[in-house]
Amino acid sequence: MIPSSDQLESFFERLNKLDRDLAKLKGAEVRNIVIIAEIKAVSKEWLRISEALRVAEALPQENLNFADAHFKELFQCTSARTRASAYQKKLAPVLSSSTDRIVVPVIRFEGSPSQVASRQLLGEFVGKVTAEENAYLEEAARCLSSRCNRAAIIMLWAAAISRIHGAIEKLGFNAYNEALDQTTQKKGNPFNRVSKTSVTSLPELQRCRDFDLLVVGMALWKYDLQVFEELDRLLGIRNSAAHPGMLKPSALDVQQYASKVGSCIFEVVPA
Amino acid sequence: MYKNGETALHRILELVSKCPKEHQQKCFEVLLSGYVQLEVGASTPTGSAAKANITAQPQAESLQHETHIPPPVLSRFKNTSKRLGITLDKLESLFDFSVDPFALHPVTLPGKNNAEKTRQIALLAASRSYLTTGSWSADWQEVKSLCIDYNCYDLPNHSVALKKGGGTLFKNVEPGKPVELSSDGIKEAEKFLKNLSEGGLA
Repeated sequence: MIPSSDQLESFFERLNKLDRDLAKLKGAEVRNIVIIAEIKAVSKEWLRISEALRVAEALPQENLNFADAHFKELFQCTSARTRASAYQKKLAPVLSSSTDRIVVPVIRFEGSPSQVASRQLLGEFVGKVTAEENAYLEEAARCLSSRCNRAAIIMLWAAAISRIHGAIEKLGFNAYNEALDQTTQKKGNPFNRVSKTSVTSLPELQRCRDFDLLVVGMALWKYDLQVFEELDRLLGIRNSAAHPGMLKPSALDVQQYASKVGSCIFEVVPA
Repeated sequence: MYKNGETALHRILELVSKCPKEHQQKCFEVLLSGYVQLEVGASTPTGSAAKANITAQPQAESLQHETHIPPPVLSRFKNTSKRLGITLDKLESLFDFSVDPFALHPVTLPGKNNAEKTRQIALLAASRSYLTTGSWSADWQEVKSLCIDYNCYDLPNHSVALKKGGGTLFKNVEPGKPVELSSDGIKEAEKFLKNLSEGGLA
């Protein structure tokens, strides 16, 4: 999880408060356990933040290295008898450059259009998805923010299929098999393209073709042929994204895909 | 077209044979191209329908070629420009479509102070969000980032500026969460967008 600029701002505010507390000691040796504990805590906290920022590549590595070195020294000082002025000397370079070197680059990173697009994608599904489905959506959002648009489409479809599997499990496999029988008895396209494979467990269901689930879904969740056709189109896009070819979806295409998945699956198939 | 092609070709060859040898090839080319032009000209539609075709075709082509607005959002841009009473070009000029997803072009903010500029930025970010997704809400982080770009980010007063001075512009202002525009806010954002597109570019 990447720390937000708001979290960073409050972290540096905490650091400023620590600096003010140290200034009150007027250069004397720091014996106050609370202050020493706070120095240790902020140093450890920074290492966690730094690691997360490093992974996300949100700002230049040298900016992180610079801060890391100072916090490391600060932490080492807690195991020796150190004056408040010495602590302040180590804090000063970090505090004076924190805004320019750390906070501003993070604000720019998280405010970039691709990051905004990935948050908007997640916003489409707020209150509509389970924790399991949300894991796929978060991965899709990460793909979108990294400009891996085809991968984002695949993960969005994975979330949709996860919803369908979950809903079938809830209804029971007997209900699914009955719906499958009803469907295969119907004539014409798309009913005659469904394979007659009844299921008795989740692994068996997971082996079923997505197309079959979408057709049987008409009997299970009472959506009409138009919704099915839209879902079939979405499946087609997913397949194009997953197989070698010339498809080059833009971020907007992914957002539109997410919006359609939201309205055709998550608003139609109950959790 | 080319109904009497064979006869015409014979006539052309007859005429060519009368020319000096060194000019025969050129003569043949000139006569043949003249005949072809005559035939093609005769087969093109005449009258007002033809005129309409001639004028409409380049217009449609130029519209397709000139706009850089991505197809998924083109209809929303068209509707918005129509509603605001501005041309599509002017609305398009506010955004940079060379990046994916598209971003805002730099503009001159008319705000008197940081707080006013921050609110105008929130309106702009919400407008971009509307044109992208159809939702009039400004992404909190995007607003902060734009405030940095426009040199009006005031850390201790940022959310206060959005909360206090906003009046009825925003439905909710919670740090870290999208800032949703109220109906007044939407009207204000559209007005702001119109003013900027009519000459507010930096």
